[in-house]
Amino acid sequence: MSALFRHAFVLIACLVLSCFAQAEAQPETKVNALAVVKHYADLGHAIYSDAESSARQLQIQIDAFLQAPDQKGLIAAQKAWQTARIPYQQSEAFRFGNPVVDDWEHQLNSWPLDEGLIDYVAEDYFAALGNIGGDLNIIANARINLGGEIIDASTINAELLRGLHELGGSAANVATGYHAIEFLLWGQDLHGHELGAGERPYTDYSQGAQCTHGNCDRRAAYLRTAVSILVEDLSYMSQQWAPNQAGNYRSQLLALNNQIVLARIFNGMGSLSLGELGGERIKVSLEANSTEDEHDCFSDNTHWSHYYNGLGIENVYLGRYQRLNGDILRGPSLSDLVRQANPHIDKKTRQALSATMASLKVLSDTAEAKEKPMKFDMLIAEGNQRGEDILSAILKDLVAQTRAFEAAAAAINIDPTATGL
Amino acid sequence: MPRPRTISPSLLLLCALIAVSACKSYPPLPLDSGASYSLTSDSPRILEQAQPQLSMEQKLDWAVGKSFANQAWVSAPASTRARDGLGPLFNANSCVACHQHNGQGQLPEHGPGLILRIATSGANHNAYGEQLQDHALLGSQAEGQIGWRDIASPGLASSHQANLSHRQYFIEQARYGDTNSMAFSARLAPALIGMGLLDRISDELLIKRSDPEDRDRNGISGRAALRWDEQQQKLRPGRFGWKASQASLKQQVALAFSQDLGIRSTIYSAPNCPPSVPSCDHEFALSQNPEPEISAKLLNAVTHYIANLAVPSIQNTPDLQAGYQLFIKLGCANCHIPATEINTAAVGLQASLTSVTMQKETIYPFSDLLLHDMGPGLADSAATDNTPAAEWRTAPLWGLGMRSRDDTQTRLLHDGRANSIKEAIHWHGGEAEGSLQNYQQLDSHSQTTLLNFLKAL
Repeated sequence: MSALFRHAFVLIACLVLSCFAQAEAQPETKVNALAVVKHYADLGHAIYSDAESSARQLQIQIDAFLQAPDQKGLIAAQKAWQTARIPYQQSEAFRFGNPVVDDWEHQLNSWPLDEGLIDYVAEDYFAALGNIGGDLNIIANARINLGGEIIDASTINAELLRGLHELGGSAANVATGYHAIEFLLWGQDLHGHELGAGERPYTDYSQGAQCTHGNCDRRAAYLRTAVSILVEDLSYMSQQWAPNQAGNYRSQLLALNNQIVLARIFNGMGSLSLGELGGERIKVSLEANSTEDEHDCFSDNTHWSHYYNGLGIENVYLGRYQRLNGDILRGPSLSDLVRQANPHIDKKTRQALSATMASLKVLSDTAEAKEKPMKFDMLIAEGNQRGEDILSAILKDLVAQTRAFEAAAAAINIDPTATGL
Repeated sequence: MPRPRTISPSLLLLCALIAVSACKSYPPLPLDSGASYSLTSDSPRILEQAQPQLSMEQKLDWAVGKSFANQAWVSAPASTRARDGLGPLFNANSCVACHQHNGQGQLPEHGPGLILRIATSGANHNAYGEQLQDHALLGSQAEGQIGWRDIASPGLASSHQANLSHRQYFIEQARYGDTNSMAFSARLAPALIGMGLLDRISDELLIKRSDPEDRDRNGISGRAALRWDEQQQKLRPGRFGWKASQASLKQQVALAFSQDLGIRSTIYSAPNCPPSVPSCDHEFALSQNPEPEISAKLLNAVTHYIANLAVPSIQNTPDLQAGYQLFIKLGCANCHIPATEINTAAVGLQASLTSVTMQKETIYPFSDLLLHDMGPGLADSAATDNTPAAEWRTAPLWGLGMRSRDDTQTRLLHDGRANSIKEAIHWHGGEAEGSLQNYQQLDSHSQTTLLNFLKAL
């Protein structure tokens, strides 16, 4: 063999080997648990930051609307509310398993609410009966009589509303949060299982002679206060996930054993999939055939709430999140960890997540259809076979994906219940 | 004279027996008092968790039950058909209104959770039915409100150095006739702990435990009261309620829907509405409709939810085992029997979900579930629920720790009169008199050990 040949051979051999090496090396870039945990906290920070910034946008729209109430301003505020739901519903994959979120979220996402606590309601409204708060109507009453105890409600401010939230221990007495704002922007949905959402007139906020339903000044004050509380709450939560802040939740999380954090991550995905989204938000509605059980019942935005819950779960597994500005955040994920241990189980898990997203897309497509749209409150009507089929398919997929999480957790030796809580 | 070289075997055996009985000790108390239903957690929401063995499909059903236990029921007809049927008379509009976070009820000055059962011995009781309903829908009037006067118990106070008082409850603002000659029994809503496990204790075991004639002459004459089980169509030993007035969990849940919420079910299909209340005519007309206000499916779902709540584990405190031994030694365990064997079988919402292999489990509810004469201190003024005034079911003690953690929130015994475990002990009389005396003879260190044990449950 000539020297040239020898060199060429060596070169080719090197090239071939290096090609192999590269092909081998890509999955060999080992992801470790700590990197996954850190990226999980980064995702949390991004998502709560988006929730906060979109709530600030909502605040801007509400301020503008209240400056000069008109239909256009009301619609702009409603759109801003719907946008604000996009990151928040995705953030719910962080709720369970993280006590900082779970102990806090009732302040801003409690539902269903007894709207009679806040404002006027239709005459045949009965949900309040037996609930001490159900007919208080804070907006109409500057003095609130709580079984003899008089509360001065002449000024509607954060202190008053926070104090009245979950009044008498009843979770239906929702005075603050997304759904309180939703009710203030849309009003009661009086269409039952028929097409149509709440139709609050913008004149409910007109000052002076144009004011409808009375107390427009107090209603405006309520709306302004409710959105400022929302911003404050979300700002608190994004700080909890911010890097380099001594004593915040992120720093506590990173100080924990990685196994515990991974358990919390799985726990959060599973609890949202099965207990909350599957159980409370879909199965209950299906069994009860009741519009009261619809998550975003005033705005008929429920399909998007469910869709983004699903996406939030998928995000966490894939270590990915598309921010409101379109940027995509990617990093070391649970999926990477599982693939390294067992590629087959990882693939199955990703497939289960995709299947759920496809079923959720059927739900949102049905609700947003140009022709004969069917919103969630129509789908859960008794005897609506199409609705039952769509929702049952989602339930089946949510069960399957929760099973997949169990297998995925087992593949990397994580016990999802060992959350240290 | 021959000198015995060895001790005879029989003497050895006797010594051994004496030695064993002298330091007779019970096996240590395990921490998982709810066996496979046990959950260890410091969460204040521990009572709202599912038991760990539920399958995923069962968890979805569990969520349905949870929703119907938590969300408010409304009057009929309403837009929400599944949740209508409340009243016209009721005590609360949801389960959790009284069983807050599945815990105990509140005293009436703080909110819902205490009801008055009405003795059938007094005049005019027919006008009010079995129970005072202190709320009504619009268009109806509540039967009245709960009133009370404080009664000091000087006899008890002087002998036990505890400041014991209780309340005599009555009806205020009575709407449907004179209540002066009526007698009442106040009952606090219990915490929903381990109900599904108690439901699985066999009838035979409860009957075997009962000893109404005190044939074993230990001063304890526990009685298994036979109650009608509507589903099984037979008499069975009662086990639920302060008076053990119900034999099955599902029937207990149906009774609560009927009496507390005014909601008709397949089990209690007649309206809970005394004829003296004008709006009851309408309710009776509605009840001609064979469809109950809570469907059979949803009654099952709520029962399934309550049956499958997790049981909080016992806290492993330093005093635990020593306190447990004391508890037995004092005789407390004669009625508050620690261990009970049950069959394991999930109470599934659908038959297909019940295919769990049968096996035995041991739970630690600390109750024989029998009725005992608890003496005049705890007695009502008249019999209620077909049970003598002085007889009460041995209260299960699991979860006692979480019910007594906060001194300002503690309300123990059937009407919540005891503000601490110590006070609750002092109220024990009748068949428990002996154990109470044993407790009082303990030195203060041992008393503390016992109380710490009870707080760990």
